[in-house]
Amino acid sequence: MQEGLSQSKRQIYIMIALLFLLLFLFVNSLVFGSVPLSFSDVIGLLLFQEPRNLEVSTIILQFRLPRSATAVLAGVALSLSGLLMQTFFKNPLAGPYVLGINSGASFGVALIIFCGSLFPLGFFFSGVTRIAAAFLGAVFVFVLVFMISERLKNKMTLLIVGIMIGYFTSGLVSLLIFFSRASEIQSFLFWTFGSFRGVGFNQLAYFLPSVIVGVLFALWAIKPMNSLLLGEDYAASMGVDIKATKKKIILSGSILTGTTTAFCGPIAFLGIAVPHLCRWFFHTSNHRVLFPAVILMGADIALLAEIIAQLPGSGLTLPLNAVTALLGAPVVIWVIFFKKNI
Amino acid sequence: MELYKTDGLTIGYKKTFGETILGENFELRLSKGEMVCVLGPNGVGKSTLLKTMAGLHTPLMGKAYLMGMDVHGLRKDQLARKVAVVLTERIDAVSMTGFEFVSLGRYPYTGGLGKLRERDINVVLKVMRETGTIEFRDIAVGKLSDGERQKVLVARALAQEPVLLILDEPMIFLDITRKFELFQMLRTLSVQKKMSILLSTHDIDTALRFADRLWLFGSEKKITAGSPEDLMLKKAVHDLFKDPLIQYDKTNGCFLQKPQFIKKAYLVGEEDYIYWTRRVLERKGFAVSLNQSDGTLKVQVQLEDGLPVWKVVYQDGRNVFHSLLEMGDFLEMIREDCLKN
Repeated sequence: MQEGLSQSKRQIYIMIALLFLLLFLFVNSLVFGSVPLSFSDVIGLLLFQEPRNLEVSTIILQFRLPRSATAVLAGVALSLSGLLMQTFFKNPLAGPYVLGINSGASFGVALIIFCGSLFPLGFFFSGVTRIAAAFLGAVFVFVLVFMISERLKNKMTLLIVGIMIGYFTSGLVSLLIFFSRASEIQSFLFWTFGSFRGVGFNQLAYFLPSVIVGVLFALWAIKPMNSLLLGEDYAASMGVDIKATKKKIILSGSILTGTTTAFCGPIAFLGIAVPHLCRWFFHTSNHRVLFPAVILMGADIALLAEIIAQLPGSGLTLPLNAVTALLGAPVVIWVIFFKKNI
Repeated sequence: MELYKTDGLTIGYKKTFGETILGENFELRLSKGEMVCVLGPNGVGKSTLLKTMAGLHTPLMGKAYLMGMDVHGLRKDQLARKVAVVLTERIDAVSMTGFEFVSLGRYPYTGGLGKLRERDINVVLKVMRETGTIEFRDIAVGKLSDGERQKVLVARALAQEPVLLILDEPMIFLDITRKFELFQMLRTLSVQKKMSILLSTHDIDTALRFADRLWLFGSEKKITAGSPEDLMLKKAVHDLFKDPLIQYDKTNGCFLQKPQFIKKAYLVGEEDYIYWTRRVLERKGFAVSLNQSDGTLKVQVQLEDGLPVWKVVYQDGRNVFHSLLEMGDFLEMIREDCLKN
């Protein structure tokens, strides 16, 4: 291949480095937590050796493994939907959180919890219902923002509209919580803080396939997305079916954001920041490169955020959104200052 | 051979109530290998015409046929193998390399993930060589100059291997050298590759020289087609820009700002110097007359020892100048005098 050899070689090296970093962070995330464990405990367990005691294996398998897996899935899903939205809206500051897609999903979940408090049926809390509600909420807001964006030429007004829709839905969510039964409120409030820790293996059984479906839809949109960077007229002139592509992007973005929000709560800044980090590291806006890059980088950053939140060695746990904000906000500011392009 | 034809094509925009019609019942023909320039004042609908013909915009009525196929009924990827466009939309400084950018044009030929096959890569490299953009292969498109980016855009369009290339004001940001380079390249494509080229421009001079055919899109929602020369002789181009301030120079085939003359001047002398002396006189507001009895001013150009000398007689005073700059200053004084009285 003569496809700019040095450039693509460099990209492959960074990709491999990110992969190794992922493995390194994953193992580390199993080590750190409220109960101190050692590397050898984790490595030993991963190599199917007999654990030191049953407690160690329970902590790792029942709590930390699902938590780390959730972090990886959420990082992948949110970062990828951030990439989709930035290209879709031709807006470098678009992302699931900024545009209120997160809040739409929260609203869906809140509605389910509220209904659950009215009609005490276990069915309402099952993974499928939760995902479906979050997905529908996300689609609703995504389509709404999209329809508004068709009428707006200014990129900044779109963001303001997105933020307002976010506030509006959050307001509705607060109302729903207010009228919910006390017993549901606590778990729901915990969920609104955003966390990778609330997901067990039985929920991962829903979370994983949904993310895979979302990623597959996104994969289907890679090819037209590069052309969309030139604007819709150019894309159409190259044979892109604009309407179909938009549907794919909305579907994929909503599945990814919706399911992640359903299980982890609203998590800020991953979606908006990771695509920019990738464009910066890989020097490209080519989606064929960015797609795998965003997946790896998203997983890495999410795991890193979770490890930092554990505050290794302290026994304390920080709120996840505080960590993602500290990591992500500087990236966003950097984008506004130094980059005009997406 | 006829490549493209329109049948009662009516272009414009649908609005919430009613529609805005920009042009009605166009019966246009485009032959294989022909280069056609669309001329017309701003806002008349040239871009809409081009986008409609490229299948990017739905006509209000009528049909457009490319090689007998309905352009607006054809599948988008099928159409993209036949028609490529270069539009006026500015490309946001995309951080893609020249190669990645041009290879976007292979979209209608690649599979589900857009992976380039060997043939695709060869086509991309070939069009990059032909358009002189191969040196930008590894350079981010955002870092290129306007002229370079325009060439990359043309290369991207050519990578679609079109039979019809449509360009909307492709020379708008280009300096004169780049402009001629681009026109020469388009000319070569139409002559050697038998590619049909349809472009809109405001550059009447260049269009008159290079185009096989002109489409004059006037403000009466009609298009007059014909060869540049016929249309010039019929004064059709002249009528296109009806403006009291603009005057058409028939001998040179170009448009000039109509001068506002205040006086007449009689001009004689060395043939080589007459043209530019006349330009100075006209700029300063003197209509040039060839009748000696005419005019408040008499200008004579002579060669003395191989150098030009301008002798100006005004109100019985004789003034000698050795450059047109000096003479121009003098004429300016006279003009100011005349305007005062």
